[in-house]
Amino acid sequence: MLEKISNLDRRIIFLFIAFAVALPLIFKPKLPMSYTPAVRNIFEFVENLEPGSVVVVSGDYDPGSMPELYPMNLAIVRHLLKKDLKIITMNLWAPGAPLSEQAIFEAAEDLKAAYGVEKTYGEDFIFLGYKVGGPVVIDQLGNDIATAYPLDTREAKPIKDFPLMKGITNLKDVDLVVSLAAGSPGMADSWVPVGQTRYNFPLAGGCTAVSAPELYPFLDTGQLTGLMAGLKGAAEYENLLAQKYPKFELGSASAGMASQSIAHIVIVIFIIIGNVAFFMTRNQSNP
Amino acid sequence: MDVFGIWVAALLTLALYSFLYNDNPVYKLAEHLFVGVSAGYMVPIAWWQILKPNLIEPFQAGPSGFEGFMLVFGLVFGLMYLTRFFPNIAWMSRWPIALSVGFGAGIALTAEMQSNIIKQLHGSMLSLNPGTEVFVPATGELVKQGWAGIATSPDAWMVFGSSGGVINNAIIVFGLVACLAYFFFSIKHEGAMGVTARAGIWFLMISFGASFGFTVMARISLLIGRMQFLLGDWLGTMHINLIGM
Repeated sequence: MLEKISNLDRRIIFLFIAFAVALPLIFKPKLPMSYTPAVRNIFEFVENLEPGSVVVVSGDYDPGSMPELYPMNLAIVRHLLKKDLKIITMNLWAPGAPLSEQAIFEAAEDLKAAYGVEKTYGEDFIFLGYKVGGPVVIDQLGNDIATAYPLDTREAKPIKDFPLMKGITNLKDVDLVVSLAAGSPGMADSWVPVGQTRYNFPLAGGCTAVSAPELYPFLDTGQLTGLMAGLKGAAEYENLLAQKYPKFELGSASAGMASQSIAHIVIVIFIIIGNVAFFMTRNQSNP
Repeated sequence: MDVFGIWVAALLTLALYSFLYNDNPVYKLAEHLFVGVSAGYMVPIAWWQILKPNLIEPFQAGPSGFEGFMLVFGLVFGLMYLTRFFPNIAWMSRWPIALSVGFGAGIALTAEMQSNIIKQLHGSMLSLNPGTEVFVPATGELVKQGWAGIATSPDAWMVFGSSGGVINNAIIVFGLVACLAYFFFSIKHEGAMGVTARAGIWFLMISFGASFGFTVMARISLLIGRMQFLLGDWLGTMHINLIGM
């Protein structure tokens, strides 16, 4: 019996994980949500910005990390648009550009449906698109945004012609930068060392859970204002937003939280069973 | 996404997950398709978003002086990368590689020093004095940390036990010293040094465990994303959306 457990076919474990993820999505059990200061700080920071403040949202991710980063992208741009803040989107990853645009249009539609407020391209948000170079691009933005991005991507017009860009020369003129990063180039190698440390602007982050341990030290030093880590971070932001603005619906991150928790429980149970079986078979073979 | 796109994405997802049962030709097909599509996707990106705006259009605008020189310099050095395909002149590719490495190291050196060494060192020099005032983000106030703070602060846990609290500060300082002791090999790890180094191993193991936990969380998140797509979008095309999203 113990040997059977020790040599359990991994496909049985896969099956358990599949059910642990699928069933909560279908039956939607209610599990409590806790909030971390790292996410709450971003929310509070955005809440305290004056209407008309300018926020850069850098979508440094791709479809591979979309399940974790797109929900937080959507939640934060919903919040920014609701607060009547101006959004400049840019991307250090090429596949991130269409995702950033999709998030803003989806958030603008949600805002119109929920609160009847319409947003206009060029006045409320602008797309700068993808630029190759990672840290070099950030350094250029720190000196002059128009040097790095002479034209926008949607209308191919000089960015200085847009009302939103009036009075905005470089990163020192923006009130917050939000980097949603799946890896490199992203927060750890570009936005924190080259951007925030050199030009000293408030920087908030969203990242995949894998890269969160690498970024937490920047929270303690104050280089990051806040951090949304993985699907849990996105779900926290969605919930904080829905509590403050109840007409916004919760998104896919919150819908996945029960699956996340139950799948973790299943994994922990398998780890305990595996370890118990291992030690018991070892003791039997070496009495 | 239109219905055809949803079906293509769903079938490719199932093809890739079929590997969980066993390696098979359907999985191989999906895997090769992914590699090819990814490479194909990057070709127009490289042309439209890198070469055209940064090289072709500036040339067409008729650059002069230093700007023109820099464009020609960039073009020539860029082309030198391609000499790797020709063994006789492959040595020329080392020049642009050397330039890239030197430039990358130069731009990273000061930034990394400031951000990852000086700021992190500063972040490790924490007060263990319970009377020190700390900033509580939730309330935006400066309050005394430690027992003195608990008596006066409505957010006692933040002051005492959470980020910036006395206990956390002590753990961070001791953990840092212990890990550094483990990696200090000029003194034999015995006596007090041995105990500290052993504590360093424990701190490292806990941090590896936390990293692994985050990795598991990330992989499950990706599975959740695919499940939401299959049970919602894909089955939704057959009017049997199981998750109502």
